[in-house]
Amino acid sequence: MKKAYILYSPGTNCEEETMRAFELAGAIPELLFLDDVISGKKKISDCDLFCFPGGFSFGDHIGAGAIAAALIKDFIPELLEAQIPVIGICNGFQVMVRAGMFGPGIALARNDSGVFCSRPAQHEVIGSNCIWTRNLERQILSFPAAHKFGKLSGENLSKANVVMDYYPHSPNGGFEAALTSENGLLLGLMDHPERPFGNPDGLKLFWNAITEV
Amino acid sequence: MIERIVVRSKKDKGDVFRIYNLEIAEFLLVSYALWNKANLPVPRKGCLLDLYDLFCDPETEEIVYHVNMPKGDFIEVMYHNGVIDPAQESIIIACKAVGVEVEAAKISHRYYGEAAKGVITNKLVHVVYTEEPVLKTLKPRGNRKEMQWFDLVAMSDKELLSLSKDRELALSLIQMQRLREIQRESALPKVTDVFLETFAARWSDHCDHGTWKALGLFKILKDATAKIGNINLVSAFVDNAGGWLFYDNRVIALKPETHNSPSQKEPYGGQLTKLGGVLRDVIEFALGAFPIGNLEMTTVGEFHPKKYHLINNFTLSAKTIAQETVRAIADYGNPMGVPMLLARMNSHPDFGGKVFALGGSVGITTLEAAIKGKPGVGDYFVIVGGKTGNDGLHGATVSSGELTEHTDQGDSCHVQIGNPFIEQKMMRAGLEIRDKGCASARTDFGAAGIVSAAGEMGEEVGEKGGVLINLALVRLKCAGMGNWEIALSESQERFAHAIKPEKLAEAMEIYARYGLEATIVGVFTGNGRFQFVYDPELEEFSAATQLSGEIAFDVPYELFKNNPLPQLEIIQPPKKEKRFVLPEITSSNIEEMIERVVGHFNCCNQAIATTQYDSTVGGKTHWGPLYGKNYNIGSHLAVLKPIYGEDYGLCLSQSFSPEQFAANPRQAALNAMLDAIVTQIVAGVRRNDICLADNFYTPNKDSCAYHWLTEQVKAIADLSIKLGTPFITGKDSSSGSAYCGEDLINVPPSVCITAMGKINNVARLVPPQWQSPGNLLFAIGPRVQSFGGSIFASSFGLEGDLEETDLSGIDKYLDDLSAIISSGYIKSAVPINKGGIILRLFEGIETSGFGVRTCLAVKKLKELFFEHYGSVLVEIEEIYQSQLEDIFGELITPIGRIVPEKHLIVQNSAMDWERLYKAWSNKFAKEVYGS
Repeated sequence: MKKAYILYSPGTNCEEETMRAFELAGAIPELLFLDDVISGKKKISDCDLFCFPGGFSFGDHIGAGAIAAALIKDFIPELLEAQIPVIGICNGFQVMVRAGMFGPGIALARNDSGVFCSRPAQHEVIGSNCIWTRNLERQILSFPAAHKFGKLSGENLSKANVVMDYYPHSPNGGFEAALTSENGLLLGLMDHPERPFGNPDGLKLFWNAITEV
Repeated sequence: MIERIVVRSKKDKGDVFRIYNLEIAEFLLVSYALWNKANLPVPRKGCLLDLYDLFCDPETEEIVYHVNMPKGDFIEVMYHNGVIDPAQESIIIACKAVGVEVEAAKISHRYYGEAAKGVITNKLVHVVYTEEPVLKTLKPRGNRKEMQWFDLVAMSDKELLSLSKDRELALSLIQMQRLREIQRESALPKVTDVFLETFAARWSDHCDHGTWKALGLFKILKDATAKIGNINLVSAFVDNAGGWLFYDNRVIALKPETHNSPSQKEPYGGQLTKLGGVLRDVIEFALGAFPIGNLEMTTVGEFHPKKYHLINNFTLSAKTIAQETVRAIADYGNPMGVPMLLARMNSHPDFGGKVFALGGSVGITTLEAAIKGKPGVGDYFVIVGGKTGNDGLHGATVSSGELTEHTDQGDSCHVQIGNPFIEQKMMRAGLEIRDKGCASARTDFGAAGIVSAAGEMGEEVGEKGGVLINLALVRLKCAGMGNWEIALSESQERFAHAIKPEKLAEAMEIYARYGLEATIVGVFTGNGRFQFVYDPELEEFSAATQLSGEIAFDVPYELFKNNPLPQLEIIQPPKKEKRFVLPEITSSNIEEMIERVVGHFNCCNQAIATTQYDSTVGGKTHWGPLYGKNYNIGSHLAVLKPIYGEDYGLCLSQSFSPEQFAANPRQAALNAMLDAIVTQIVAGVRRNDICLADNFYTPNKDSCAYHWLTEQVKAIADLSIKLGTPFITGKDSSSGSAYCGEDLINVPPSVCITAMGKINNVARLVPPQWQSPGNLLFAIGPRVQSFGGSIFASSFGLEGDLEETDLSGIDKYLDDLSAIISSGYIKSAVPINKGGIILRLFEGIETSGFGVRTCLAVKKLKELFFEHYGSVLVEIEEIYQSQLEDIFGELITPIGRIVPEKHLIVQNSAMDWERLYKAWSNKFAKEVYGS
């Protein structure tokens, strides 16, 4: 059985359903406290899969994901060097972007509406080497959106590895719904494949990565 | 010194600037490079450029240097020093991570030119600068206030009353006289301000429910619940929330509560704390529960005042309150990670002086942990979470009295700004505290702060009760707090735990792991006394700890029982004129009449607000607050699947229609109750699986208020017995009157009814959405023959009176309804309530994309607009029509047939859908956001 770390920062609020999704997909989820990583009590790479879950880390008081990113930044190289597949969902994606995991020139801007948007969303999977979305090309996956700062933007967005587009409607005004890294190990997306519990569309992503590792 | 870092969005390069104000002990280096260039040793980690990286996302934002700020007029808005910015804690943590020690922080926003227009500020919490601010400190300033002493025995009645008024105690003369007797009988030379304030809080209507007790109303509801003896009942009226047995030995805690006065004065802060308050009630239910869903219902005044046309000169406009409500509910509920299940906003002129701000929350716990705990002798009293400040003082007494100019000016801190970040951490930590058995009892800090929390917990210790609190140990966020202020503070996000001595270390470890501060400030003594001291030296506690230091309060618990009940006069209201004239509905004007209803604020599309609330977090939401093909119809019933992997459903419905209460408060209460129940039953929930919550809102300056309140309570208690659906929790707010200039504005005597039911398999639920063209629609249930209290009447500015519903056969009707739902031939079903059948038809079309051809004759068209509370609109296949008619006889009315095309056809004429849709869809945005 593969072990998945789900990072808990104060303000994380999706860890329970995310752990359940990993569990349903066949992994053993374990909550990893950010403090334990910083204090050296736990090693960030001591897992087979890693997840930055959704929430409002540190209240998102100075920008979505900014504080968690500042605190975890020093440990990211260890995670990447270990070639561990990583998924960042919603606030987790924001943390990954702020920590530079998708490179410079990528940002998650405020929704065009200017406000939080919670509604059903559909996502068309684009062909790529991403281990989370492999073999799902052209499928339309349904899972909900719930965010305020989720519009992918930045000067390097056109060069980014987009692996999902919104179809047909975007909750944030952007077209792109998910990114991967050059090596296909990372997946960042604003919407919530872990919702609702047992959602087969969302679980496909988790199954994919667990099977690969 | 104060460092200010200014950030602006790159995208719009607009005139809005976010400014981080940081109070730091030492000057910051601009950068290490500059420092190194000067060949100086780096004295410490941390520089300004690090902070720029932290506070500014370089992809979307830019740092703006002071010299580059625009010239011209601006306003800069910041919380004043008495209000701790919710962002402060996170900012301090973040800055520490880059090596900068910050002592205090505040975020301000500066607006230039047009951007300044429409910015909502409130002097109670904000300071507004129009020139460059000169900031010396961001911390609350002040010196500790000395305790005051009063000799009540030496005071005349007049002086007693004046003392009550001056200190905003909201105590009546008879209550003050009782306190004077207590001083005399206890042979106290004088009493302290803590004494006065503690009794004022404990005897307030908010905490002691004197009005309800005097009218005997509590007993009526409690007796009704006891008489029903429903086997699902776990706890009712004894805890922060009511407890209802779910499946697999789990219990659901239900708590709706209002927060009316603060939400009128400072809607953003008031609505934040409203939601924070009900969530804390659930988190601290019994030995701990985990919140799994929220409810939201706010009723504001008129958007274009007609009835009280000068109202906006005296109080915040409905538009401002509505905007701030949506913003606040999103800002608190979303970070908490608790899904919004039902959300609705209403408008009615009589709520213009005092908004009806109702929030609710449900949580889940185990059966073993669902019984209210009792602290053991020697257990520690621990405050967990936020620090204590001078915010929220006199919440209990002010909410029990009326808002006056004096209150506005003299008690400017009774509005607070909630901080979900702290409370959210407690949701998780609270579960571990529960599961590890660390606490013998728990509660939250609500009205009257420590006085209420410690006082009530202490009452349960042993046979006599007893608690000793050392106010000197309470962690403070303000410098100048006196004893009574510490004791009474209603600072948010604080939790009271009675921790067993042998579990103390384990509990403290759990709090620390979740980033929560926790402090032992007292001990449960069991000595029969409620005691406050102020002694910085007293840090070790046992049940035998003696009083030391400044003794602020020391009275036996039994004295609290001596609250003299008010003498209330029940005055009958005059007979209401029942006749009122409305235009006849004909085939030529029907489209305009429908437009009036669907375009009424209380019926319109509110998805623009509802979608701002996270409704899917937690992964347990089965039916959320919106449904339909276009995800824009407000749900009548929300359904959760609270246990992962199980198909058990928890169903919630809520009913409140201001027009109904304005027309006839008693009948409206019954209608609301019937509506909330039938919404559950028509979806498939059995009536003995349903429980209820009541939230009364009474206009305290209305001479007939007590008549209506009594009538309402009796009526709903009787109906609950008849139906076997008990009330398990409730709250009364008796502050529904407000003076706005010369106008006394009374809310109509109101009660919002929340129903909670369970179903063992959500697959059995009947959906609200129409299923197939060709199917027939029938209205079933009790019918009225008048427009009284309807949206239709309201659209003409009229209210009329309500018809009394014959309830003699209501139980049989509901059982028949349950039977046909179980039979499986009902394809879809919705309750009929405000807006009548016509609104349900409109919504049916919008949710399904199909249409309907109605079959009512011209003279019966008005029945589409009557509001038949307790009735339902069901969809069946034609072959089942006779079965339905056999069962329901005269209670059934054919309404029409579903057609494949998206048309609303009345009298063979298709209504102009675009016209109706526009009226329905645009109303909310137009009124609330002006767009």
